Amino acid sequence: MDTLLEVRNLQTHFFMAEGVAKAVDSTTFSIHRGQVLGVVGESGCGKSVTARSIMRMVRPPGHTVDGEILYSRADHEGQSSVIDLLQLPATGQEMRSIRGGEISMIFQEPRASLSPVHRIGDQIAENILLHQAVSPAEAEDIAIDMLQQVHIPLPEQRMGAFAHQLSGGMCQRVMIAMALSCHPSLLIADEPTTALDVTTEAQILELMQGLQAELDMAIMFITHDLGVVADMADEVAVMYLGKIVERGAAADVFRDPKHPYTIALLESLPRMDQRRDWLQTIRGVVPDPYSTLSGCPFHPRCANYMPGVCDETVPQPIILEDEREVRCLLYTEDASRESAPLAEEASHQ
Amino acid sequence: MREYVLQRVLQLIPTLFLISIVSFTIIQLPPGDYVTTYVANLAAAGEELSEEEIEALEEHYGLNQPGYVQYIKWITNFLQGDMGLSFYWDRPVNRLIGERLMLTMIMSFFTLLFVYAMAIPIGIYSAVRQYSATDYAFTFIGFIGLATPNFLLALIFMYIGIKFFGADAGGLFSTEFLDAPWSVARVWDMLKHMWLPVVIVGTSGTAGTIRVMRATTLDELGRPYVETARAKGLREGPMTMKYPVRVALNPILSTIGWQLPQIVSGTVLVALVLNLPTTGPLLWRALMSQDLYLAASMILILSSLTLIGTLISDILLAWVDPRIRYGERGTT
Repeated sequence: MDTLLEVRNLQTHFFMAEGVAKAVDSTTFSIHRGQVLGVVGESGCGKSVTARSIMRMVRPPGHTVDGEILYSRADHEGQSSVIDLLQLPATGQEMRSIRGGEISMIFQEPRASLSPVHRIGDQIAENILLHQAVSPAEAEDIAIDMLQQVHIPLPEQRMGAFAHQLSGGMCQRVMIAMALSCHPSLLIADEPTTALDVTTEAQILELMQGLQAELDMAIMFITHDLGVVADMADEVAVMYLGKIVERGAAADVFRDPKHPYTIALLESLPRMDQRRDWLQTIRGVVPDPYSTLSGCPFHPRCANYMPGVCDETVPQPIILEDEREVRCLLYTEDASRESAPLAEEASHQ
Repeated sequence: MREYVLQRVLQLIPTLFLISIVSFTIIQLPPGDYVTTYVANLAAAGEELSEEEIEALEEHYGLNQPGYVQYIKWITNFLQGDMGLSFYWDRPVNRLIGERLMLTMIMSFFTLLFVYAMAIPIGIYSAVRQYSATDYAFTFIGFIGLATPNFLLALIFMYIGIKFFGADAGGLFSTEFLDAPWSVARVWDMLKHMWLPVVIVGTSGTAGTIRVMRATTLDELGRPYVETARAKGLREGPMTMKYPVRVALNPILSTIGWQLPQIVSGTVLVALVLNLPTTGPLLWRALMSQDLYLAASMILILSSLTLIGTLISDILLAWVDPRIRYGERGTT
């Protein structure tokens, strides 16, 4: 498959008075052209920071200290060249032309993400003028066209509206129109439907799926909602404490989760076919980001915790069959014989 | 927008009416009136007035009539541009106030200009470079400026001026222009004198506005729309000015109206110290001697200016912040 973006060993740390928070800690994954990668995990696991690291928009005290972000850039003749985004100056001309032009982003709170004092039409046109050689009048036409594409009624009139005059769902449509106005090859969607009600969420997801197929772009879809990922994603990456603990094709991961964390996440979903008095939860809480846990970061909460192993050895990514990647000591050579059936059992409960 | 402005202008009328009643009443609240003060002063000087003389005086000034009659007379004449007679100066209030009011307004204008020209850029810089050495330096200077009373600053400046430069820091005009008719030379002379009181009066306002500007800009810098703007690939500097700073200016604009009365009343002590021919000292003396029409007229004029200032800042705010505008739909 054609790799669009390859993130290798990404490390973004926050240098706080309390210590160093390793928000993203040796994360490796790739996004394929025209595919949707779902990134799931609890709050604070580093999903959003990963996205901002790709955009080179991490604000101090956060810094990307190590890693590579290899972006394959297609030029006009269809030739592609690979550049490492981390080698570009974050506020330099080249990075700025990629940001918003080739990789764009939408956010969690659509209304707050639009300027309260600028007309939405101007905000969309600004993005177009920044990345395309068009006149202001042409930019306006493109903006109206984009509003039409995201199914906003009366787009000409809406150009003059302000964010506070639109509903949350409409604002997210505007954000999508803005993000897609320059036909990016990658759209990073950071929990784009979390702040919306379920009906609106369904509409926005449907819209995104339609546009994704139409414009043939890749989407990095960040969410904590497993249902949304199952619906949208071709591939899934599950993050825990700044690390990707499991990665694979969405269908495979949902059918047969390997990592105890993924298993526990899927277990905690409420199900329509089973009546339960209690919602299944993962025991314990996410450790605070300054703690330096030895061994596997998930071991204090893990159902398959192996004393003497998990709290001492840091698991490395292991490639299983069907191109699945798991960071878990259960699947190492010596542990697999006794413990793998355990995980098997848990997944079929 | 036009409806909004019209609505606000119409709201001014009852407010001004109420202010005129209140300012007239407050001046009459202390026991006695101008004549009793005058008689007491004469008595202190050893001169007694007969009953008839006192009554004649009260008759002359119209003080023997009930309060509301005095008020109605005053306000009817006021609306026709006649503000009555100053007892103390024995001159029409109009002539007394005229030039002083103009000078006060000019000084207020320059003070506001000075405050904003200094405070807004410094506030933005302090926010964008939060916790930098420069930010700390401005914060330090700002707090000193905020904590030092204006009149003390005025005294210090006067001392420095006389001691080291042999210059007289008082007044707004050089001696040769004091009573001269208005001319280009006189205006130039006034401007040369005005910067010092402007700096003195503007210091605390500048310090306060720096704090407000810094805080609001910091607030806005963390908002999601700033991240959206950054994600578009805009350059950091222009992006900061166009988005967060633009929004952070709103509270500054909306407080222009509050700055005006502060400047006008805050200048009284400074004006006394620096011997400025502004309205402050005149109002102070009028209140001391219960000079009814002078005091009431000045309070009414100053309150009107304040209201107009507030109106201007409201209109500015509605103009820059679409969330404030009433009755406008997205489709217009």
